[in-house]
Parts: sequence; C-alpha cells; structure tokens
Amino acid sequence: MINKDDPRLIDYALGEMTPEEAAAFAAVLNQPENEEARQTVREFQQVAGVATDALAAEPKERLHDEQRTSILDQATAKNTSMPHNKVHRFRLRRVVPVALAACLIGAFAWLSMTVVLRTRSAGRIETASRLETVREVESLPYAPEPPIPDADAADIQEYRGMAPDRVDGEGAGERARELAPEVETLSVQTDVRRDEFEGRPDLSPPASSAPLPAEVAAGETRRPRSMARESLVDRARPGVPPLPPLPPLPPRRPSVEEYLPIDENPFHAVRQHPLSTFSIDVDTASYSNVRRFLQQGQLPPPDAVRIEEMVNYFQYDLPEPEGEAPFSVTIEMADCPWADGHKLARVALQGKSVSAEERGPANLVFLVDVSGSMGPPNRLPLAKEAMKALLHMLEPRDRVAIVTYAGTAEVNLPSTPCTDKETIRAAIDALQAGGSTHGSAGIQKAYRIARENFVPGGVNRVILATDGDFNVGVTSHDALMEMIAEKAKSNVFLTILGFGYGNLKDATLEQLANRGNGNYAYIDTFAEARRVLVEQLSGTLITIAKDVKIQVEFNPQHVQAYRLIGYENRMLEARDFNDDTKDAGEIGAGHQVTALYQLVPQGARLDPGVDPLRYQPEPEYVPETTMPHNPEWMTVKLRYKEPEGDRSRLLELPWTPAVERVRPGSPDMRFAAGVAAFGMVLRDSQHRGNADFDLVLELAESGKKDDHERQAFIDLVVAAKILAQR
Amino acid sequence: MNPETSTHADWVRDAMTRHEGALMRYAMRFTGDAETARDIVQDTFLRLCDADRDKVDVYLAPWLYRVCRNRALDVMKKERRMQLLQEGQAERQPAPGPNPGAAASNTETGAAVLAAMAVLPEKQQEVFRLKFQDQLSYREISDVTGFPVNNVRYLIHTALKTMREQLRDRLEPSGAAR
Repeated sequence: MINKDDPRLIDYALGEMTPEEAAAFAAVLNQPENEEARQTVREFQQVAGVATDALAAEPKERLHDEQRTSILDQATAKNTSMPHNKVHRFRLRRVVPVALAACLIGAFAWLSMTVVLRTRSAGRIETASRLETVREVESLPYAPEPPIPDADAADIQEYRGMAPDRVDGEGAGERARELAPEVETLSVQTDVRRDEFEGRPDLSPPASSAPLPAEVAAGETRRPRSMARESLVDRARPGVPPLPPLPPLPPRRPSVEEYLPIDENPFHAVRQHPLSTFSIDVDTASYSNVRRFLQQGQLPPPDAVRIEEMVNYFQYDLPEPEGEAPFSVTIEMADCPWADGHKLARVALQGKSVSAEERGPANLVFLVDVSGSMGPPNRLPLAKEAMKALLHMLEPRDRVAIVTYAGTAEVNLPSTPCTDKETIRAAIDALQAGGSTHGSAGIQKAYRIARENFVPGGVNRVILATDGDFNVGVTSHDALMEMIAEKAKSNVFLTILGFGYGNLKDATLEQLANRGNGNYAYIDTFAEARRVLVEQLSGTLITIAKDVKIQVEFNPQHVQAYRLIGYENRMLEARDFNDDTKDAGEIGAGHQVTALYQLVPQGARLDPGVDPLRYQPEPEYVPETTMPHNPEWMTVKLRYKEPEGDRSRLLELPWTPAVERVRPGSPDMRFAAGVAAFGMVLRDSQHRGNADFDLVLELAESGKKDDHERQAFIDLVVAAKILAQR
Repeated sequence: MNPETSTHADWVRDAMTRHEGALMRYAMRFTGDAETARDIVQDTFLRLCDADRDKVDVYLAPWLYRVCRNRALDVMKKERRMQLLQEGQAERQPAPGPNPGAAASNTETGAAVLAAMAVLPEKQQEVFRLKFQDQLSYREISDVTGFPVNNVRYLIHTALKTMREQLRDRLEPSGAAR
C-alpha cells in the first residue's frame, strides 16, 4: 500500500517521473487499497493548478524598445570587435500599462480559476538527442556555479529520512526500467505555450472512490518532461538498499513510436465556460495510421487516435460555398447515440473547390529524408512512387525541386520546370537511403529554394517526405519548431507525408505541420499516396484560407453543458480567437472540416448513467432574468485569413434548431457519429457513454451510403472488434 | 550551422519574444525595481548574443534564467555594497520582488495562493515559482539555481505541502477547486 506521505506521489502529480516510472507507479496506485494515495495526488494537482493560475496572472514588465534594438544590433554585429552597446538606464519612467495588463490577465485568470486536474505543466521537449548534447556540454558556457547559500545538508538529511523505503513492496522507477529497456513506448510532451494555463471546470460526475481515469491507469498520458533522464529516485537516495522487484509489466510492442498525449476535452458548463475555441485541422494522418495498426493485427495506442482526423478522413455531402467566403458552414443536430437525452451537433465546413486550371502555377520543393531509416520499402521507395504520381499530375507551367537530407542537406535537383519531367523523374528514381538525419538544414534549403522561385498567387509549397526521425543534428525540438514557424511566414506552405512504422514520430510531424502552416498525412500504402497526392491534389496543394479558427458560444438557456469531441491538440484560449498573431490551421481547396459537439440540453441529465438523486433536488438551471429569451442554441464564429494575407476576416452564424423532436440525423451525421464513437471506444474514453463496437457498426452501416471508403471503415471496425475480444 | 548573421539575430529575437516577459518577472523578484531589472535582462540577452548558438539552444530557457539570476545576484551585491558605503548600515536582505499580491490577483483563491507563497522561505519561493510560474523541471531548476536536484525536489515537496495545508479549505474532495 502506498503511504499518503510517500514523496513519489508529488513527483507523479507534477509529471516529474519518466514514462516507465509513471506507468509502473500508476499501476500500483490504481489498486483499490490506494484510494488515500490517489486522493493525495488529486490534492497536489489541484494545488499545483491554482498556484499556476495565480502565478500566471502576475504582470510582466517589458524592456524599453531601445534596449531591444541594442540587443539585436549586438546580435547582428556579433562577428565584429565592437564593445557592447548598452543603452543607458533611462531615468524617465515610461507609462507601462501594468494595471491594464493586470486587469486583462486577472480577468482572464478569474475565468480560468475553476481548474481541476493539472497533471502536467507546459514543459519542454527533451528528446534523446537533446540529452546526448547536454551530456557533451556538461560545462555550459555560463557563470560558474554559485556556492549554495544556506546549509542544505540539513535539508537533504531530513529528506532522506522520509523513506520511500518505508513503503513496502512497491518499487518503481528504476525497477521498471531494468525490466523493459527495449520496450519503451516513449511519449513526448509538447511545449504548447498557447495552451499554457487552461482552466476548465470539470463537470464529470463525482468519482471520488473511483480509480483515476483510464488514461492514467495506462500511464500513457502522464506527461513526464524528460523521457530518458536519470530517475530522480536514483539521485535522491544513493546508498539506500534497493526495493524488492516489481512484478513484470505486461509485454509491449517493441517500438519507439511517439505520440502527443491527448488530454481529452471534458464537459464544460455553459454558465462558466460558454466559449469553445479551437483551430481547425484537416490532417488525416491518424486515420491511416490507426488503419495501419489494425491491418497489422494490433490495436492502436490510445494517443494515436485523434478523433477529429478520423472523422475528417471521409467525404461528406456539403454545399459548395457561394459568395465571398472561401467555405460554407453547415450545422446539424441530432440525438446523441451514446447518451440518453444528449444531443450531437455537427459543424461542418466545406472549402471551395479550385479546379486544376484555376490554380496558379505550382512551385514545389520535395524535401526528402534519405537517411538510413528510410530504407524499407514502405518508406523511401513508397515516397518515390508517391512523388512520381504527383509529378504526373503537374503541368508544364509548374516547377519541382528536390532537396534531400541525411548527414548533410543537398540540393539534389534545382527548381526545374515541368516541361522537363524526364529530368525530374530521373532525379526521383536516383534517390537512395543512407546516412543520418539532419533535418533542419534540409528545411532551410528547401524553403530557400521555394522562396527563390516564389510565384505570387500560385502554389508555393514544400512537401516533406519522412519518417520523422530527426534525432541527429537538429539542435532541439523547440528550435526545429521555431524554425518552421519562421519559415511559415514566407507564405510557402508545407505538406508533410509520414511514412513507416516502428519509429514513426507522429508527434513531431503533427506539430511541424501545425507550426509550419501545413497539413500532415500518413502514407501507409500506395493507395493512400494516390488519394492524397492525386485525387485530393487540389486540397493538398492549394490553400484557400489560413489561420482558420472556430469559436462557438453556447446559450445557457438551452444548453447546460457541452463537450468538443477531439481537437485536443488544437484548443485555443478564448482570447486567441481575435488575436491574429496566433497561428491556426489551414484549409485546402475542396477540403472539409467537421467538428462534433456532444450537448447536454437544459433539463437533461448530465450523466444519464448515474441514478437520480434521492435526497436532493437535481441542480437546475435558473434562467437569467435580465436576458430575454433567445431561441438560438449557439453561435458559430469563424476567423480566417486569405492565403497571403495578414488580417483575419470574421464569419458569424447564430443557429437555432429547426424543430425539436426525436432525430436520428442524416446519414452523414450518423456516419460521422459512428467514426467518433469508434475513436472513443478505441481510446476507452471515459466519455463514451454506452458506445461500443456494435453501436459503431450500427451507425456506420446506416450512414455508409455507397461509398467504398466507408465500407472499408466498417471492415476495419469489425477487425478491431475481433482484436479487442482477444 | 547557418553562418548568416541575420539568422543569429533572428534566433536572439525569437528568444526575446519568448522569454523577455518571464525573465523580467524573474529579475524583478531580485531587484524590486523595474529599471534595474531591465538592465539585468538586457545584459542577459547581450550575453546570449555572444553565446554559441549550437550549444545554448538545446538548453535555452534554463541558460537564460541562469545568466539572469547570476547577473541579478551580482547587481544586488554591488548595490548593497554601495548602499553600505553610502549609509554605513549593517547588511540587509536583498530587496524582495514586488508584492505579488498587489496588482495581480483578482480572485480570492488567487490572492490566497500568493499570500501563502509570500510566507514561504526564500529558497522555497524561488524554486516554487520556477516550477509553477516558469514551468521548469527539477533538473532545469537545478541548473538555474545551482541547487542539487534532490534539494530542488525537497524544496518543492515542502513548499507544495505547505501550500496544500494553507489552501486546504479551498480544495474539494471530488476534485474541483473552488
């Protein structure tokens, strides 16, 4: 049994354990006798949460502009022998709008105050390479370590006295690592700065005696900062006798794939959190990746299942946009199939189609990873076939260049017009895998060539083909993301094609696509390559709107609570909606984007699975007497920018349901619901209500129409059902 | 490594965009005075200009905080010495940061948090803020402050437990904070 004073509980609560430690610890923590320990973890997480929020509200002063300028001058003049140009301290005080900033920040922090579980903090990514580099530069070029001011010996002693070794039986940490050194399912945590301090009131029904949610039990969404860092437990207590061995962990697939953790969106109370804000996503990688797992006879890891990407993989019947806006918006509501009394609302965008003739000339740069890991047939060879298929679709007015990277970055083929496809094809055929990956230099070169051949109003795009394994030569994950974000400002867009399995760096690729104004598709077969690069060529190549954000405001007169299904990695703060400096997703020609909300109408039960209360009235909505009755249920707002523009435009659509009656929804609605339910079942989501494989099949069958992709989905669900039963 | 100097300036500019505010806030905790803090942060970024990008970049945030901290401690020492020369007084504590409770918190819980933090011992406060305000890991905090990692861990544990006691009546068993 874990004692409630066990210091590991805090490490666990703060995400300071390695994945293996966390997983092993979680397994023990979730045993029934450890309820007190779990409660302790929750308490610490709450404290961490309120502390984080309170501290985030503190105002920040700024440097004077002259100081910033002098710094940048120094940076530019780095190679000269000029002395530091320091701006003398100004005696004149500037008006620093601290109070205003504090009010805004404070007001926002107030909105965010009802925070619940804070399992992690926005951290830095530390990949294996970062660690290697750190070990090399152990003596970093800054001031020598200052002496420790106080007598810390006493601190350390006292701390060692708090014995993890008092806890009986359960070892963790290094035991787990010893047992399973090669079967690491490493998970990466992102530096999602814009989501830094999200406050979300949690409306999940009270579950004080239940174990922590399934994701925690699996240990896969606990986000330790540093994956391969030495265990703190090691360093904290040298010389303490080792703990007894842990029972063996269940066998895992031996691979080193990386997925961004998904912290599922909870239900939000409309009164406290009326705005749902997120960036659109047209990536479809998750669906083809999940398909790949299932076809290989494995259930996918939950974090690989991004529900929005799965729903968006399919084509729906949506009206072509008319008028100025580059997309049309369709809203539909139906009964929620997995929760009695709840509704499901579908918000769907249809991007305007652009025919091949209408598009501007294309200026494409293939950026190909030719490192050794790309050798297998489903990587570089498949990528080559994919590129040739795309080449086939291009016209004489288009241009293609090829940059490869492995060890160094080479311009394999300078930008060549498609009047000479033979040369291009030959260059593609000649690509060979070998060497190690030096991704950042490749990216620099590719964008340089794209800029040099920039076609205003045309299709300017870097197409990156890789398995994502940038593990040598790139300075840090952060630096890579910063670089790609910088490159994105040049109005050259990005398409990322992911290949391979076993070390697919899905997390890295998804993030790169986000930061780089791009889309990310996972290519498991030539059929998928054809789908993305031939059938959907326009969508893949032609961006019709960028930085597309959605903000939905719900009306508490009708909606008690809501949950956005998916888009966890795309959530934005409410204020980011109007902030044009905040990056968001791109939409390509003909692309569709669907978002599903599960709604709890006023008068419905929040959790239909829980018995009605006997000794208290159910919480009831007391209408605001000052607000007049408004039949609208929600208003959907969209902001988007022209592909080469800087200022966003706003669309605003208030929506009222047509008639309130029992509604199963259109076939498209049912099919989309089926896909979403499938995602929730695969993730074993706590929000899946009574969804199971059979419900998924029922919904998908009733909505499949005549589409072969949808039939393929049904086959996949059957396969998953069989796998799950084993 | 790209030899173009404009890229180096870009890198520095990006670092400023990302870290200027947080570093200013950090420096203010040492000086209490915005102008002195600005000098310290400016010095920090000037040192960044001269740093080897390849080596520092893997480690940018802790590096910046560390340089900033050392500079702040130097500046405070100098100011204290000058003050002693001027006033001939016995050594006093370095000026604490601006009162955190003052302009920041608009909520009761927020104010309670900041008040509870203000009575923590100085080292615990610093480490607690680096963790929950600047989002650094134990290891990074160790690099910034020079305290050994196990000491950082102990300080955070102790601070967190104290905070939990102080805020106990604001926590709810079902998991929602008031």
